[in-house]
Amino acid sequence: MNSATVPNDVKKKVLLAPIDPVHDVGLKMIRRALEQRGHQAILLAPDLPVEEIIREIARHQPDFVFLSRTLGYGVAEILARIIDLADAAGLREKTRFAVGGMAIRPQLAAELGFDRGFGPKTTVEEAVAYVEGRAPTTQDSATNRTKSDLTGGYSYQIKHPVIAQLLAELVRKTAQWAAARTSPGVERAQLRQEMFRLLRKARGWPDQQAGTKVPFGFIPVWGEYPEDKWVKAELVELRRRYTGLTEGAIRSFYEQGLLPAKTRPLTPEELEALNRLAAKNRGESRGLGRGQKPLVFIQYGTGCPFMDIAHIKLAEACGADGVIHFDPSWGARAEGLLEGYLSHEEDGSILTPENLAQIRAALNQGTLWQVRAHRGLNTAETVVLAGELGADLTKINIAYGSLGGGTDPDRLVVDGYYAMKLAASYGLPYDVVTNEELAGVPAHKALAGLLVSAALGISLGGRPILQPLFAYSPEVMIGGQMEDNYVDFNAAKVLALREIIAAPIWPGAPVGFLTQSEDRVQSAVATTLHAMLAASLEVEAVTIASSDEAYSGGPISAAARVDTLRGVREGFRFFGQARIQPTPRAQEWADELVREITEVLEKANQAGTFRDALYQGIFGSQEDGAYPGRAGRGTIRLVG
Amino acid sequence: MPVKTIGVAGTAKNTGKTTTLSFLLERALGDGLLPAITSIGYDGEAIDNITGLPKPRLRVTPGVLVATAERCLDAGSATLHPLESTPIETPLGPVILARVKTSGLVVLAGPNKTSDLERLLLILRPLSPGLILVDGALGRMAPLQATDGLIVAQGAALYPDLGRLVAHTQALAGLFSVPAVDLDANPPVPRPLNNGFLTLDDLKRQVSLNREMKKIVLENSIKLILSGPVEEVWAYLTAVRQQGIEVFVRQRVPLLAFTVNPFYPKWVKENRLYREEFLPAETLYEAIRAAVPVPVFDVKKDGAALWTLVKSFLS
Repeated sequence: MNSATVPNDVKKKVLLAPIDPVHDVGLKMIRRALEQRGHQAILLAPDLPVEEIIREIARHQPDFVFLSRTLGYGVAEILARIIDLADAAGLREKTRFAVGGMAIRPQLAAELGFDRGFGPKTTVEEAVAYVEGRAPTTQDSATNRTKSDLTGGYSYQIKHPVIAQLLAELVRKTAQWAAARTSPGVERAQLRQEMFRLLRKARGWPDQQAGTKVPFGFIPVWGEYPEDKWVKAELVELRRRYTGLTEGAIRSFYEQGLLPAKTRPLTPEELEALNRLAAKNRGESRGLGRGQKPLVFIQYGTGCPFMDIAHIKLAEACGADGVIHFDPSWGARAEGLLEGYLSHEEDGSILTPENLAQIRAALNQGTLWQVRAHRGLNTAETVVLAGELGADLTKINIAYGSLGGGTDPDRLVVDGYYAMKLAASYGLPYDVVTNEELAGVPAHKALAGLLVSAALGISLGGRPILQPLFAYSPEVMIGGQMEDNYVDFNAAKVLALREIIAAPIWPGAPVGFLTQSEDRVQSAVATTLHAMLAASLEVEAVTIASSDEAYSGGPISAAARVDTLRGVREGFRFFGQARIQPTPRAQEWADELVREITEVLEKANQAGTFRDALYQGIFGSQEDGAYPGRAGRGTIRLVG
Repeated sequence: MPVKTIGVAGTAKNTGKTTTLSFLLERALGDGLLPAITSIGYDGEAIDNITGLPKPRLRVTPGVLVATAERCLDAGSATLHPLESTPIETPLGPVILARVKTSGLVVLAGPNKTSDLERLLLILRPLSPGLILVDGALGRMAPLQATDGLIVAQGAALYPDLGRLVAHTQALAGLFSVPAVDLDANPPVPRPLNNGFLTLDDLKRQVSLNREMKKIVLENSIKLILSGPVEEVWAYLTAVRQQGIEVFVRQRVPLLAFTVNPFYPKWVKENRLYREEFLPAETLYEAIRAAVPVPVFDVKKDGAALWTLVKSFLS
């Protein structure tokens, strides 16, 4: 709380009367705060008779009287009598009467006749704010919240000379290779961008940085076209070409208007209700009490737009700083994105321009929004959507997508490369994650792959964020690095990365992966502790799961969502500026990781480009559990 | 004809204020009078804030004017159409003047101090409701000094002891009966300290200091009642009258009637809960009727007679 003294014209006189037989700690805390702010605070002795309290009020003529009392037998009558006598004595004109205590609710305060009631969760700041006639401020006040840039202040300098050289070489070769090639994914991204540009021009929509609340109302296949005939003709042509680049169920959608199984469009009534829901709940977020760092992200993607918005609103209300969009897993294997306001019967919210625009409209002003481009055949086009529709971040993942996400490495290098260019042009930071560790790839290989992607992105003018996993991965299950604690090995990853490059770090995804169980309390505690480790390591952000995400097999409950956010809030409160201390093992492992990463990068360079190394299993072999994906195999071609 | 305001005060919680108010409301509506209603506390909740026992709810029909806090507008089942927002603040938000659009239950939380109730009455009167009903809260009385007449809901919840209850009612009736004097010709005697409020102790002290005093003039009936424990105040006034000192008030708040509620919540220690209990109703009524010169009603049985009384007061 701000302890600066208030100006003289705001100074008040407050009489604090504890009715309990013993002194009230709450009133003493409030008195101290009031005095710090320059107000006059008079604390009466506890348990005074009613008439004497009235006499004191008449004598001091305060601006406020704060009475406090735990509710018990006959207490209501005492409080009501004080109010009655004060009123009869004409003391209620100048003086405001407030009552506080464990059982006080506004309804009770009204029944007793007070001007204001303060319940058990009242903070000292709320009481002081009432006296000063303003809204209470908190450290993470909604009015002060602006979106922070996770990447601000990082030079991206590669500090490790050998690695710098290796990465530079690898990036050069890979960029040369990728720039010469294209794919249906890249072409679709280009067409989608064209469509956006046309529509913006035709409808006079502002540039996407301004952020439009109105859904774009993208043209459904059989729906209306904008009035301008020239624009219409252009759009028809663009979509025709786009359709030609799609396949399977996506193609059926564009050609015949058929939707894939388990998806359906929202009805007009549902859409209207959705708009109302988004508008109604648009409010200000409260933080988790930590200030700006680390930012806490949650993941959403129920498939149902209403549930998504409900989860987002809940997370925002609980203090989440950002939300991450999860799309259906089949999206990675589909050539093309759908359009329209679509609901999905299973996990994952379908990526369409309309769906995303709707989510965006529902977000609070200060909430960060990540739309993941990620790991599949629509990587590049998703970045277009993210950029055009006002996302704050995206995610581009070449190694994981190739080795664990089922996408052909050739295809993903080409698409990922193009996606990174797009991200840079949209000014969209993105994280690069190492989910292949979950398949069994050891950390040093995964981190090496991460560094290559990051370096590639940096060379294209992008601002990648490194996302190591804090997880109980197969590597540690076999190797025993987490037998004693979950701290050292996770910390080692962060330490290693920091030794190599000056880049923002954002552990995910989510932290505590594979440490959760069916026990919600255990899961919440595990998540909280991992988040606290992230905070101790002073990372920029952390992604947390709900306490049932690991075991729900799909739907996540709101209560479980609250579990981990509350847990993290408690964790921040507990630790403040204090730190979790890793043992010396962490640094040993960090050094080892740096050595091993160097070796991997050397092998990768020998192999040739990034895609060569991926195919050869250098960033994750079949023995590790990584398999080069097949989706999109044979779809790339040389440009020109 | 200026609109009259009737307050329903209770001597304690659960003495039947809201039941009485509910009854008056029902009768007024039945007679085609569109009343305006408010409360100086919080009414209409389903379960008592403190005892956890069920409470009567207030039912309204279209046309009734309701003055309640903003956060209570949607709390009941009746649809209320807000007319204007008043500057009167409560812990549940500003008091809003609303008209009932569809029948249902309402939750009332209105102005809880005298000056605020006066302000509200100024706003309500020009809207010409048939009458204005103000529900009390707990044993609170001060703001009701702004009403034109009071019905006091007495009940076993104050004292679950018949003798004490009768004595209290008698004292209360006595205090309300203290006659009025001409305002201009009679300043308060002895001089009150704060806005015409004198505690019993202050009064005693002043009177004993001033042997010459022949006349005590107090500010109003309500302040008199609040000056100390009711039985003690009455006993004192009776004593000074016997010494030849006259007692007056500058303003009387007319006591129209008592209602009596034999119910009281009994604390059951084993269950740590309250249970409904009753004093013997017939005996209670007879005893109180015998002790006070003011009409006494059982709202559930003598409703018609009470309403007749109220109607004659209104005309």
